Amino acid sequence: MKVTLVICEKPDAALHVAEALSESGEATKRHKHGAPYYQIDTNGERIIVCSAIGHLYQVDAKGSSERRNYPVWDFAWKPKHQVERGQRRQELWLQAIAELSEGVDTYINSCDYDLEGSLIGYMILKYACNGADQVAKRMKFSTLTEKELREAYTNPMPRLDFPLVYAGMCRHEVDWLYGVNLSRALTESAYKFSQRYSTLSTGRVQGPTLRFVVEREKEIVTFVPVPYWTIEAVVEIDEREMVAEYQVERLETSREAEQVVEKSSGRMGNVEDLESKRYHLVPPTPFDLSTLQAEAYRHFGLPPTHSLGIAERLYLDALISYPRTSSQKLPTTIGYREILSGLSKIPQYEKHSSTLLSARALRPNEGKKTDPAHPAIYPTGVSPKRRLEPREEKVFDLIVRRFMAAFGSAAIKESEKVTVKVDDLRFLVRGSRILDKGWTVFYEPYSKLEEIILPPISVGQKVAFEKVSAEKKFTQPPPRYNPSSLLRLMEEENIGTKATRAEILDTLHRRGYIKGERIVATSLAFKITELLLKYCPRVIDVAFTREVEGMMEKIESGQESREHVIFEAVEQLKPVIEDLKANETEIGKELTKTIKEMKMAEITLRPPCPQCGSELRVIRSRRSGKRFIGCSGMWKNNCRFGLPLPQFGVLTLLEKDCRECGFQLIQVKTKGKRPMISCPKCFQAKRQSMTGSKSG
Amino acid sequence: MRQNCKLCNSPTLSDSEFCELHHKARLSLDEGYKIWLKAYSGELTMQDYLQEILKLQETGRAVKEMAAHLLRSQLRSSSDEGNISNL
Repeated sequence: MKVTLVICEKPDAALHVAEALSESGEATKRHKHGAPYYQIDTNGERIIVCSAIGHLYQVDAKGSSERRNYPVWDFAWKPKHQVERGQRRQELWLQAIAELSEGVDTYINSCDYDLEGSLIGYMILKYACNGADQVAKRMKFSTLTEKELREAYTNPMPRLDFPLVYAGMCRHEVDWLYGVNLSRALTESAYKFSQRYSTLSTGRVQGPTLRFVVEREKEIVTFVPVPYWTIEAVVEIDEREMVAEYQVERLETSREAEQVVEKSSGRMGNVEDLESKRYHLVPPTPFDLSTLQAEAYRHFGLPPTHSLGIAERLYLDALISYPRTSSQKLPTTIGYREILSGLSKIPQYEKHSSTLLSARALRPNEGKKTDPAHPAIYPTGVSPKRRLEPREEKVFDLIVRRFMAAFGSAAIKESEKVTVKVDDLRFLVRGSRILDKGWTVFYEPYSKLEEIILPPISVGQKVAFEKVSAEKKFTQPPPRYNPSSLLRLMEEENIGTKATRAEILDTLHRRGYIKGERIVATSLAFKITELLLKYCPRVIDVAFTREVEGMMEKIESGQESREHVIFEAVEQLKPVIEDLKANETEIGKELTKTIKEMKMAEITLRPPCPQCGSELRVIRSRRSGKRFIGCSGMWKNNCRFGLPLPQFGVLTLLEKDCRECGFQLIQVKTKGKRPMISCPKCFQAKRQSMTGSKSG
Repeated sequence: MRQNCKLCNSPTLSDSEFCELHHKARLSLDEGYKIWLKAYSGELTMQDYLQEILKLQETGRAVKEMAAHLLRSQLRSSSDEGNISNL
């Protein structure tokens, strides 16, 4: 009997592949060393479908290298369980795959068709299946629907997608070289100086990304607002009050603003001109990953890593196509009508999909971006087989409506501008009217077109200026990045990949370099960026990162070799690391000082002690082990001021103050529970009043 | 020898008594004053400007620190010299 081994990326995907291939046979679920696999006996062929659990191999120093040593230039791919602790499951998984591969005639890599998927499958085939990478075939698909999977199995690519594999290997290797050497240089410098261990990291993409945030933070902290004035008038046209804006949007002096108010208040003006303009709002393009992440953040406040995770779950449920794509194209081969027919079976999409299906031709409004491996994100037309969680439901709904909107016609809007002259001043009254809702109907509630209907107006008509006021305003600092806008910037600057960008933001958070939803750079971020700029500016130069990125992309298209890119990367990095090593003491001293200050800031409250004016800090009692807010003036001033704190959970001092008493608020996070925000001062007052009333 | 910034103890720039951020804040304040002065047709003292700047939530942290520092040093020098005309 001919035996075929199909390797998938995740167990859920393996289930879908097994179900799809078991059309004329039966898939039996079995386990080996705890790893599930499926066996299908059909038409004299045995198909074994197994899966990885993400990456089972990773880059590490060649031989056995002390983890703190640097520089390290020699590397090798090793099973994950040999590199990281607590990877017993991965070890057993590999053992299971190795045993399943015995006596196999045909090998197929059925991992997701992208850099990571190609690499995961390749490593398993090469190392766990005795060099089967040379004979293995490749399944290519963008959805986990039965039809597409069967098609991909029947017509696989005859060989593995080696350019993609080598590009994936190279990315991991270059990132490892940069990450390990630069991060160890920083961590070791700080450790040697302070003899205290703090994990510090930077990398090829992490460094420039952090620099974006730091540069923005510098602009914000050195921002000086300047005043300007806007004029707003309430005018009466045809017995209706309308808002009119002065022709000059911003007036730079208070005198000018006063003059405009003086000249127009209580006066009668004339309609001098009427202008209307019709314009078309083209439908949105289908989602690529970053636009999906941006929209999910905008509408639901979902951080990019969450929306990616949700999209991947929807993909594994065969509800949507592969989400890690940069394409905004929807090829006809995906079967528009078939998808819309499928969607019409879901009650909330029935009406709109039927409308689209009744159209003679379906043509999506595609964007410019392409991806050689996958089309844009689209719904498969399959109805959910389980009850989706609320957030999954939201993201699914967004994807479905966006897909339908892409096929809609342009929305048509008419804007009207009425120029009203009073004295020698001109004011504008604006209106807008929707002539055709077009695609916006399909994208509701995510698209909103607002209308301001003007009364009938003719040139020469009298207009009464009822109320005119000047409002003083101030220029605003540039906005802080949020996860979505920072991801967009990384994409625009072409640093990182769609798969790694969100992860990098998480790392920056974890290291204490950035904080908050509206991203703030911490003092440690300033220090790291300052040191890297001083000793190795090229490492955090976005142009350099982009250059390396470009070289790696060329591997995918076969125009560049992996070996050459790595050689270049090492050549660039060597002098940098030597320089960092030579300045270890200076770097360590500066980092230690910043880390100490940050740690102190984490436990120091903003309001001073109400009794002696010294700093208030979070203190842990050596005797009882309990934490509380105590006064740093205890020894100097014999101040006994103190406030109680919750004893469990991760404590954070918030930027916000209590509305009742103005004291700094605290937050306590306990696993599995909602964060608790409270005011220690109010808590104590309440407790005292309760004990008082009880004793009274 | 390298000095530390008067306001935050970070190393100073070679040609300044402040660190990079506070030096930049100082320059922004000077630039800002020119615009404010024009906005109020020349009727605004530096002291009033700094006090206004301190009240605004849009003002950057380093700028507020610098403004407070300038006001403090001016108060000191005015109590020494008995005037605030050079603020």
